[in-house]
Amino acid sequence: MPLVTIVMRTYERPVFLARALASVCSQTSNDWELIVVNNGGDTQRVDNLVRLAHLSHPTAVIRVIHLADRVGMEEASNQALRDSSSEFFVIHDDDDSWKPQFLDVAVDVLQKNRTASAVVTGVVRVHETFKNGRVWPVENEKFYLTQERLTIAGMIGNNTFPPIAVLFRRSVIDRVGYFDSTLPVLGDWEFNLRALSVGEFVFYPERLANYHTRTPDSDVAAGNSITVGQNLHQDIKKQLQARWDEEPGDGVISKGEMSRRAYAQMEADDAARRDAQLQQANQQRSVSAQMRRAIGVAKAPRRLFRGLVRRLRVKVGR
Amino acid sequence: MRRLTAHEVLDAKPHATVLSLDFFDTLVTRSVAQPTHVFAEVERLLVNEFGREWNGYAQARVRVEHEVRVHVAATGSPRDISHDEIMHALQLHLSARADFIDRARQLECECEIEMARAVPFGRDIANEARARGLRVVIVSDNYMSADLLAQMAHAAGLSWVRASDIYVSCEHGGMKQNGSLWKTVVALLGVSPKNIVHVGDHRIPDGTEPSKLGIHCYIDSRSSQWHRHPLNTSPSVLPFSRLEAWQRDVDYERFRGAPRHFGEGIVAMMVAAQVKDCLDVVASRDVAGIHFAARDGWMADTAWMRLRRERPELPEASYLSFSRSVIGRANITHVDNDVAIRFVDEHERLTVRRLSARFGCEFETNLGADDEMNSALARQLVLQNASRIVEASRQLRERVVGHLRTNGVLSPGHHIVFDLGWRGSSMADLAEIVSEATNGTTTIEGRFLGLYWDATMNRVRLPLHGYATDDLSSLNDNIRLLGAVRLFEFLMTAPEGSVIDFCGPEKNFEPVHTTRQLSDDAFIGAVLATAVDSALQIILGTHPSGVSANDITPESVWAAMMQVAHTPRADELDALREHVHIASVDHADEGMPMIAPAPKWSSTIPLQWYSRIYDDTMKTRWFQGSLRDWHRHDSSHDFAEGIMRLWPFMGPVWCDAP
Repeated sequence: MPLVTIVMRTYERPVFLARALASVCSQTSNDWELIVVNNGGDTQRVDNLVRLAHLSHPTAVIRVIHLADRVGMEEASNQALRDSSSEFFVIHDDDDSWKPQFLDVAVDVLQKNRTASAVVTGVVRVHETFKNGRVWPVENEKFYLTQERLTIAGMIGNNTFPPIAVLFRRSVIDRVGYFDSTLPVLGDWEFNLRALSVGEFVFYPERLANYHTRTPDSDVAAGNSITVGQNLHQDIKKQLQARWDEEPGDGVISKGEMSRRAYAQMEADDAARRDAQLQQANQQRSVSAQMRRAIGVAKAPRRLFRGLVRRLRVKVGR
Repeated sequence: MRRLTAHEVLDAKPHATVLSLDFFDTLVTRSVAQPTHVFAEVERLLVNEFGREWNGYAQARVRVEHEVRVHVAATGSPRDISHDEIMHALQLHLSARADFIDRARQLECECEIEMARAVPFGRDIANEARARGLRVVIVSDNYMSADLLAQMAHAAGLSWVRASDIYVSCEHGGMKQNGSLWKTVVALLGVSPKNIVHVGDHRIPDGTEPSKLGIHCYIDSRSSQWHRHPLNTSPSVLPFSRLEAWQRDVDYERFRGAPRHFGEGIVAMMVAAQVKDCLDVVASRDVAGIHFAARDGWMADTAWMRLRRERPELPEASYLSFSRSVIGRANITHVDNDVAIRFVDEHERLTVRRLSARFGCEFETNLGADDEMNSALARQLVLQNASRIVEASRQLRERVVGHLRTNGVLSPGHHIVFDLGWRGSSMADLAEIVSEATNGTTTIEGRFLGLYWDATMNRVRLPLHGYATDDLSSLNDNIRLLGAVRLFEFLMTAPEGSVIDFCGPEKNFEPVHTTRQLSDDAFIGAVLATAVDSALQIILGTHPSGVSANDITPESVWAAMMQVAHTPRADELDALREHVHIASVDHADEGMPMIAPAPKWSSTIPLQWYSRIYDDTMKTRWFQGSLRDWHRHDSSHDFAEGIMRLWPFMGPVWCDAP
């Protein structure tokens, strides 16, 4: 029995799937099985990519579950999880990637923290553009994540990390159940909060996970659920908060109200952080402006001379 | 200027009573190529002891020291910084516990002692001076104490050094750099400056400043000229650093030149990585065939053949001759705009004769064979001659398949092709030709030293594996590779020119090369002559630097590539300035110089030109080399600074901790 089950849901994104398969096969750890859940897409294409992956990694255990009809993301995950029994599991979205050490490090951390439900590593958010079957990176962003954001208080307001960054202990499912397959999106958030109720999430700051998101000018079919389905996310979030209104929160207010308040606070915090980042960017821009001024002086040295004369006059009091 | 012997330096001042020596790179050097690599070793030890969260320690250590220096300089004080100040600032920077910082400091001192080596000239002149009865003292701008420097000197075999004879800036309140330490030293020695001979490696602190007092100075910078950029440090760079330190020591008496250094340094490491990757593959699974692809696999193939003499149990490998252009041409099944764009570059000016040769068929046109045309017209001509091109492609494809069959590439099973990089499209085209020719019974896997980020789409066509870099690597790492690609393509080559066609069956489908024999070039000849030997020594564990196959990892090869490509030394830039890189699809033009000449009037060019110059240099040259070269010269220094400010990722922060 492998130590880790990696669940990879996919639907008609062969370019990303090929990259994701390479990401898994490049892991320095070998004690894993990969279950690719083809969620109602072209079977031959998925089989072909898995065959290619097998050619270069013949010892890799890669299974494919072809679903005849497309189901929700969480149901797809659940089918793979029900079909496996490893000690740890992880959801590897078909458009994300890992550093080669991810599994080695994450398993080690979780084995050392016996009471933890999961370990979450640091994340790089890779903004990339996908057009006409080609993908190219545009910018790397250090995804903001702290240990505080992995607590109930930190996570109740919003999902604070992408699935690619988290390795779960399988026993969590035994205690809190599978992913909620009725949710079209945010199923990972809802599951994370349940998982937190039975054990802490350990934060490992090294950025071992790459969370890839497409820029707005990308082809729509390549988009993330988070970037192309903003309205859906908001609607489902409200539904979840309404559901949680029936559940006890911190003893004073309901879980739903906790979520709404925490989200408002999180928005304010994020806005403040963005302001600080903007300020920093402005400072950098001012360096560019200084450079332009310097170039201007070089182009017209007389300006520099006039400036010096002006300063000299001020100094001698004229 | 002629280099003097120890005798000659001392004979120049026969009445001198004191010999003063600078410490680092004059009397003592290290077993790594640059000073900050000591911190890389400290980081390695800290990660072993305290865990992976201390990855990045070395870079933090370099940055913090710089910040402390800036802070002290801003106060207007002439004093140097101390080790205490650095470590205290580092503790704040890392939010580390005091005991961790104490341990880091202890390890740093131990590493400095462990890595200390005597510099031959410094050792010889000190011995000669002592034999002549001169007092030998050490004057150094340094944050380390005289006691620690004395321990390092002892570890380097200089047992006569006493801490009381070491005048170090952090203990005497001044610096050589601004002259203040020299005044203190002269007063403490109690001798006339005219009776002091000083030997050092830096022009201002060891030459200009002491000369002002009347001290006779001699500059010898043989050791320090090997330094690269200090920020580029992490434990992964240590193997290459040891290799360069060995080269520095071998070259001490006679500088053998950049081509040889490239060959037995970075190229040897890259060739060793190709061979090691191949060894890993054959150890883990059965494969039908191993092929090193032209031309950047030629050295690895040669090394593999020689390795098989030592280890006959290893499977045979073949050298597979092909090129991007010939495989691309063989795969044309129809001609459209995309094909025309792929084969005719935007800025090319071509003749009908050259276009015909490029596609291997006569073109039907009213133009004369040598009439020059721009890219638009050339592309139009390509579209007009579509049927001829497709037929020529079909015939070429038959010859390619014949060549592949002759070389065993079509035997059933899974074949591994090793290549330098970068996108994998040629390899994917090859895989498709092979698959079609064998009805899918033969498959190809590409194993590259470097996969670039736009290899992603080719992963759906064949299995691709990147050793030192991959399209899974971070964006920054890949962007930083830009420009470096040209350097490595230039360095990793074969004695013969590129493949432009294959003969027919009458000549057993032999490859047809360009007429240019690369081995005739003295530069490439030196690279080829040294790289294979050095790579083989690394793999066999007999390399005199101590670098062995165990040191060859994706991270160490990546770090070595970035060390050279992003922080070239002056001698490397000078050696490469006259060399061209031929990038045209038919390998038929004169090529472009690797290093772009600095733009004329570079201090006054309009800002809007910057991006155009950037694009041109990036697409056709070794960008980093050009940038560093511009930076060296006063006339283009500001322009290079401007480029680095506008595109910060071009700045010196490349070698992330693995």
